[in-house]
Amino acid sequence: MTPALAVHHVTKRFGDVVAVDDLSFEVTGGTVTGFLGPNGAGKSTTLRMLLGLVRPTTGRVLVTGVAYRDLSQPVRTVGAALEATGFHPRRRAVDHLRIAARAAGITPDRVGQVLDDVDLTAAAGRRVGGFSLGMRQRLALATALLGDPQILIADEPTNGLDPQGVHWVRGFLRQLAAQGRTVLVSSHHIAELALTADDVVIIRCGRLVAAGPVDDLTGRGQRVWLRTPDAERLAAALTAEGIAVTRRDGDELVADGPTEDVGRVVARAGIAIYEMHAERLSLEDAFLSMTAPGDPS
Amino acid sequence: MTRLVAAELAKLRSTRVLTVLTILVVAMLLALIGMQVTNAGKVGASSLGTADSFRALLGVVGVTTPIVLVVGVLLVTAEFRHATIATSLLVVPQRSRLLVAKAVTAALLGGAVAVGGMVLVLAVVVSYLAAAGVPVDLVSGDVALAVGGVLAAIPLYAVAGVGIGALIRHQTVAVVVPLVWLGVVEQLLPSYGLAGILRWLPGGDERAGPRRGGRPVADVGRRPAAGRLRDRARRGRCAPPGPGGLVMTSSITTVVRRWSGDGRRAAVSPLVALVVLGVAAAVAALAGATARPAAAATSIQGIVDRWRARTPVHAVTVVLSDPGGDVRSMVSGRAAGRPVGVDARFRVGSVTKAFVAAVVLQLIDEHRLELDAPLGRYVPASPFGDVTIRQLLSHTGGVPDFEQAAGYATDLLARPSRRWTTAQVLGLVADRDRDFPPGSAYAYSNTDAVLLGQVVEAVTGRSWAHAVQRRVIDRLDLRDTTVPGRDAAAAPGVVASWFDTSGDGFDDRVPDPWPALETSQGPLARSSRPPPTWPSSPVPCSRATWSRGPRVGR
Repeated sequence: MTPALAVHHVTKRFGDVVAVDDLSFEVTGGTVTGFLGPNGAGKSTTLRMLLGLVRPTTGRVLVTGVAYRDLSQPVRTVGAALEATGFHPRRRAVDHLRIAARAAGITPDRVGQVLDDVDLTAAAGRRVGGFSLGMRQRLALATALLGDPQILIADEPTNGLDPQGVHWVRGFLRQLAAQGRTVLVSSHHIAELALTADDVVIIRCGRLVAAGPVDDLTGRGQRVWLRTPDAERLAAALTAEGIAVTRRDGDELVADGPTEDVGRVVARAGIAIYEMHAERLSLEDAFLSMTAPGDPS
Repeated sequence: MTRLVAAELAKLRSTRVLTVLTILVVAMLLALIGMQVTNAGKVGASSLGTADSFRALLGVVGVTTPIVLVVGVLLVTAEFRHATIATSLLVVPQRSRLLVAKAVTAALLGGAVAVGGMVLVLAVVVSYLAAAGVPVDLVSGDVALAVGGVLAAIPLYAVAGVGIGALIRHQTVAVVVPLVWLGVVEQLLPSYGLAGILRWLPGGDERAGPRRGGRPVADVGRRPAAGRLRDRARRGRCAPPGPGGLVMTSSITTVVRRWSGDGRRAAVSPLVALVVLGVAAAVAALAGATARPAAAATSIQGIVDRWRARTPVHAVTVVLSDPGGDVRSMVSGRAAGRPVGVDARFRVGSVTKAFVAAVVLQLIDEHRLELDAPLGRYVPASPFGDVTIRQLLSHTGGVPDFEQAAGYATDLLARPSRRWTTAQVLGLVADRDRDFPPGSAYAYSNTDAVLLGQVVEAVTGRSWAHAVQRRVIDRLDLRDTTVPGRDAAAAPGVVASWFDTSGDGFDDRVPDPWPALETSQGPLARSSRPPPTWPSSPVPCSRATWSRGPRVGR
């Protein structure tokens, strides 16, 4: 199956600066993919290359298997809300959308729908110059949705928003994913994406660090946290089975092993357990552990 | 492409650009039309209602070129300034298509300004003139060329603006550079002795024109056809960008772009921008060939207009023919309540004598007349029968001039509508002494021509007018030249001529009583051949243009 978005060995140089360095990844259809990396990692440049706004120095970027500029209906194939999306301050929100719709050959009634989708109907007649950052982000998303595309690219859609705005964007993207669309959303804020994304692509300094399902990266069930009145005995039993144990203060301990193995040891030892749950690595921890020097994982 | 252009127009509509453009254009045009109307008819400016004046007013529309240039620039730079270019390029990934859409939009806008401006001029001028009771003649002359020039130049400036905007994406720089170029750099060039290159610069033609006025005929003569068109368009005052100018501008802007180059931004391909500029330059070159103003005709037109304003002459027509075969024509003044056009017919007065003389010489060639035979051989009853044909042709027969005869001028004043017969005219001088014995001296005498007319009639059996018509006018195919009938002065469509009864060189308001050829400059101005050469005449005619026709009555 053709991936929705594909980046093949892409390098982009601006003069002496290598913004993106031999980067490759694919985004499969119907998923929400988080595109992670610290500021300056090359996320925006990569997204702009995908959208034909920046030409790669070498390598290929494909949207549904073809270059963006060769798409017969670009706006109906992929919608993009870029961080740098600008609006003419004197232009009314509804006019901004009407212009894009007219140029793309989209019927004007779609404008009302997308304004509704992003809760901007009440502000449709206002000039964009008076919009808050959150309203601009929502207008950018509305623009991206004009062509009702199956693929959405959003560059830092929550950047600079207040918690309420962040919550709205997160819900909005989840809703789009629930409709079966492919979403590629970038952020430098790792924890936030953990709640939204199915997959992640992590880059740093223009190079790929990791790519894959969030669950794989966070290592589901590899660590178990327990609280027991008999911590000493349980630690000994686990250690005897070859499971490393870390004692925490009082009656808590953490076992380095799959939940299933730890559970069996507990049952055999007949020890009372007050609390027990699998402890996942946070995405942040995963990212940091993966990029930490000398770390075997 | 249609929907892209529609989107571009919607972009303009949704901001203040169109409103500001409209207000600026209308305000500028009204102010300049007002100035033109106020100055019309004064020194150096044509009277209102004339085709010249209308051309000048249409030319006023040309002042909008810098405004549409800036709008063309804004069409591109506003996208970069407000970072809307990304959205535009997401919709239209092909930069060339977007740029072409913008160029087409700019051209349409320029066309709208040109048409709207001319309609405004027309509305104001016609309503103003109608209110003032001045008849309007808007269709004669070269108005169509001026209209064409305005229609070509303004959209071209708008398209050039798009090209400049694509090369210099910084809005302020992209607006300031061309305006400074047009308004400052090109103005200063002559101070550095570089006036010669002005004609190759975008706005240079208009300013270069007057400075080249010193050698107009030679300059224009080299390229007759284009020269003539230029002369006409000159009065439209529309100066499309010179071909070299756009190329030069684009080179400069390319350099600027290199300096300010920023690859991170979505780039409109400079190559495409250059192609647009190139096409604009090519079209401008074509338009420039037809619409480039030439100084000569205008400065001569100014001289003619100023001269007419100083004298009581109500209408004048001038044809200039240079050795290169280039013919330029101009008219000034009014007749019968209307502005005169190049096709206006004037009575040529004593020039008619040359036509009669040509007939006489033809008859001599045909051996029906003898050059040295006395008049009496052909007109036995003549009181001047001893004077030879040669002496009559060269004003050496001593025959008294009836115009100088006592009572002639006073009678003209008293009875302006009187038509004189040949017998009556000759009666005025028949009994007077000769001015000198035949062949002994020279004195210009209108009577000589009357006598030659009698000779022609005696030999051919038809009127002198018939002979001139058949033997000269028809043979040379002078379609716009006619021999009038008895009441020539009142002929419709002929500029009335007046008689100088007081002998002060100025016309008195007495209708010219004599038949004379009527002709317009049309055959001369329109003929690609050199004007017909007259038979070399021994008649010195320095005064003749001011006196009357061949004084041949019936």
